[in-house]
Amino acid sequence: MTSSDARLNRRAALGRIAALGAAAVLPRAFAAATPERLYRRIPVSGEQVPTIGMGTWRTFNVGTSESLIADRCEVLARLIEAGGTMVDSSPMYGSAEAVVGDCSARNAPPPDWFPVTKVWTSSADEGVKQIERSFALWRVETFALFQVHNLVGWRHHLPLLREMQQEGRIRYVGITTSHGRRHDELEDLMRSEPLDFVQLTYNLADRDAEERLLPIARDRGIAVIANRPFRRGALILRLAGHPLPAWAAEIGCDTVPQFLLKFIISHPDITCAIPATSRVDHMVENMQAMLAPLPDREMRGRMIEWLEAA
Amino acid sequence: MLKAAVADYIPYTGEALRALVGTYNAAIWPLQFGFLAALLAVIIGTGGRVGTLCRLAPLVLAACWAWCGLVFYQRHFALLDWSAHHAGWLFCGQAALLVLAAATGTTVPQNRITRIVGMVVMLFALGAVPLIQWLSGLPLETFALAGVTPAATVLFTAGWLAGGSGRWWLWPVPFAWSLYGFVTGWALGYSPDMLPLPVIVILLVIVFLRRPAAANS
Repeated sequence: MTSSDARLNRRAALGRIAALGAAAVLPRAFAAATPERLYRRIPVSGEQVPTIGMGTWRTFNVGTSESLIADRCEVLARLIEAGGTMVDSSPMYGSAEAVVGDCSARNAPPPDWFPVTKVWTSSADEGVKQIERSFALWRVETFALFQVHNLVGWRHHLPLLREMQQEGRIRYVGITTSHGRRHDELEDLMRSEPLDFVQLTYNLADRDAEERLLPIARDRGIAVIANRPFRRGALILRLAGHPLPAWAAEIGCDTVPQFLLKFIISHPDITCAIPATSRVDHMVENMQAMLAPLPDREMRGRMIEWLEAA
Repeated sequence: MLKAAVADYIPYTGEALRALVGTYNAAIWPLQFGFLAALLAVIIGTGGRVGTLCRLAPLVLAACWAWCGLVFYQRHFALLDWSAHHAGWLFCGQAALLVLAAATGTTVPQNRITRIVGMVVMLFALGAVPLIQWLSGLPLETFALAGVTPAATVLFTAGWLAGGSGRWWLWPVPFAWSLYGFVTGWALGYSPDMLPLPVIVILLVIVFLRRPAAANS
């Protein structure tokens, strides 16, 4: 097991890219003769989080349908069973927060439960109401992480979230973007604001963040959540019918989703990926990607080449 | 790929939408029958040129649009999609226009062909739309019905408008919704919402082509 520093300097991080994989993550033994689960440290605190969490865009927005809620509770149960703790949602996602709150109450969340949500409004007053509504919907007294969704109204919300962090109602504060949008503005904020987390799109096909954002995160000790790991399924569709290369077995990948997830979490500056799914079998499959080993730098290069050839 | 890209911007799935309509139908049961009966009266009134029923038709449709706006969109659909509030107000706006149409009271000259086509579309919205959903394998409790859900209500209203019972300013909202419904229905694989657009386009063409004859009659 590697002792990971909370804040890495550029040289140390580059050294890690060379060594990659196990050097950058923190395996935690959980059973004899089973691959180790992989965790990453949150730079600002040193707290460890599993490298795979769960997003809820579309998948958990099922209204009040009892049968669909029961299905989603089963998905969440599998996440927890496989060692997952982080679930990310937003008021933008319709009923998703309420469904997650309902399911987490039914599933008895683990002690290291890591609830993550966002504030999504340009109005300061509405932001206050929305934040309080999220506490009620999730049925939590403390959020692990509260983010400003897509940078909307961040000037109002960041000071409020920091105030709540001081009060202990929020442990970490962050900001999000997706689809590769508004990276310039995000970069400015990462440089100027004391952020604990950022959330951005990073996957095998969308690697823009590697150029500027991930190095800034590394230098400033900001944890990074990767959203849209499969481009909402489009990458999986694109790769359907292309058998995985034989060398994928070296990193324990049986399926395309695992292959895609392992690419993401093998980047040393990514803290975790949050695939969304409404299916139990997919959740089980996704969580397999959290098991060691990870690809090294050379294999990551081959993964990119394989995608481009597909 | 385009379908997936469009679906990426819709915060719910077709499965969740069907489930929502099911929950909604259960919540308002058996009011569906009241709306269906009222719409049947509109068809009878239009077909038989029954004066009282014809005059009441826009008020019946206004009630359907207001119900869809306030109950379907604002109370139920807003659970899945925040933009449902906007759609809800749009439906209320159309309800207000229909009340205005009822208040002004004048009747538009009717063309026999457009009146028959309009009747067929109204009957289609009332009876064939549920049949199509049944043939598509959708469970009975998730049927989107005229009067209480948007797509079939839009379709029925378009039939009434084509029959010569309406004004040009009653067309934009149904047409705009049919565009929205077609795109979202296509992206989500939800057939009921895809029906109004092609029908409305055909109706508008027919109405446009028959207009000179109607003006001379």
